[in-house]
Amino acid sequence: MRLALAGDEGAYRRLLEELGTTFRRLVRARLSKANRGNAEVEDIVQEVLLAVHLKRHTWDPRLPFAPWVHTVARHKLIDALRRQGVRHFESVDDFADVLPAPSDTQSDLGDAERLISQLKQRQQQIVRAMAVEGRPAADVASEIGMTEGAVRVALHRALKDLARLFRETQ
Amino acid sequence: MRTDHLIAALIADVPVKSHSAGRRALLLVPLAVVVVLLGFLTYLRIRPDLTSGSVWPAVAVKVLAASLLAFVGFRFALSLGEPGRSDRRLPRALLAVPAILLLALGIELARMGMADWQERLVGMNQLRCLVLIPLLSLPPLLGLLVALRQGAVTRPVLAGLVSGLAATGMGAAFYSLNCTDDSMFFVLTWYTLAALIVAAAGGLAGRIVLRW
Repeated sequence: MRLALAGDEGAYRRLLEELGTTFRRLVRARLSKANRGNAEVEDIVQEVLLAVHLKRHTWDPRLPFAPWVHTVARHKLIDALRRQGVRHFESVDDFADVLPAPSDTQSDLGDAERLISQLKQRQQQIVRAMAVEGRPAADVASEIGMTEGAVRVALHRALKDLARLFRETQ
Repeated sequence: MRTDHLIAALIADVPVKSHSAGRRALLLVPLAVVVVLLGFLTYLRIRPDLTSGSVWPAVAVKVLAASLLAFVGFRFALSLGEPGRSDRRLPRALLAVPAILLLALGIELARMGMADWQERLVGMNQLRCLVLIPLLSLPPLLGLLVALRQGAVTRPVLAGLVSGLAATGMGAAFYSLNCTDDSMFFVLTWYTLAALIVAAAGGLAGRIVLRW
């Protein structure tokens, strides 16, 4: 995270992927008990990743990163699981080995799609292009006739709104 | 939405430019205190007998305890907006506030005994105290809560409560320059009640506005 905050995109990608895998394992262990599918798992993983991203400025780089991310993730996981109606938080350790968390089943037809369609039109367009189709900012910028900087700012607002929508889902 | 695409979008997001809750609070809370100061100077003013020898020790104790509550509560509230930072010294330091007041009560008892303690407790300004302290605390409470929204509060009720206490400290510091009830019986009863009102309001507000 230290490198990521300093602008190292590669380091940030590795960090988010690693956190995503960890979160996925945690969520899957809990949701499998409640017979929930991959879509719900991925929704929660994405919500927690989004929260870590939007709150990363609250981490003081002079302190260790682990307690921070643990607290943030725990807070969001409990919140999200509660909304999914999962109230049993068994120890995950037993499940961790049994249920690996491969990253090739990341397709998701869960809530996220529905939430994106509640964003403002321009935001939808940008989030769809970048987060759903995975296109780079420069590409999207030239297509809709905005500067790349403006696209990133609009994306930032959209991500904040998306986090709010996640939170308000019941 | 695929998670790896979401990650790509997060990476493409603008770099961190949000200020921390601490930095925002350092701007908003002094601003709120200025509002309180202006309101105080316009409507309440400093009691005229402040400089006379008999009242300043009591006023000094009140202002000292209130300022300590404001200072420690401010730092405690902000620390609750930073996950992974736990400082056990801050909640303990808060205990110094009742300690100071109880010590002052002891001194008062030693000097004046128990005579008329009920009259001293009831005082002249109880209702005024219960209305004005929360009123003077409202701007700093709002400032703190708005600042904390920028943080990542994982215990919203506690954070709101502590913000309420800190704000009471700021409000009460001003109010005690005006209030002429100097008995510690009065302070411990009515100021505490006022603090509980503001803390409860803060906790309630925190539950709603500090979620993320």
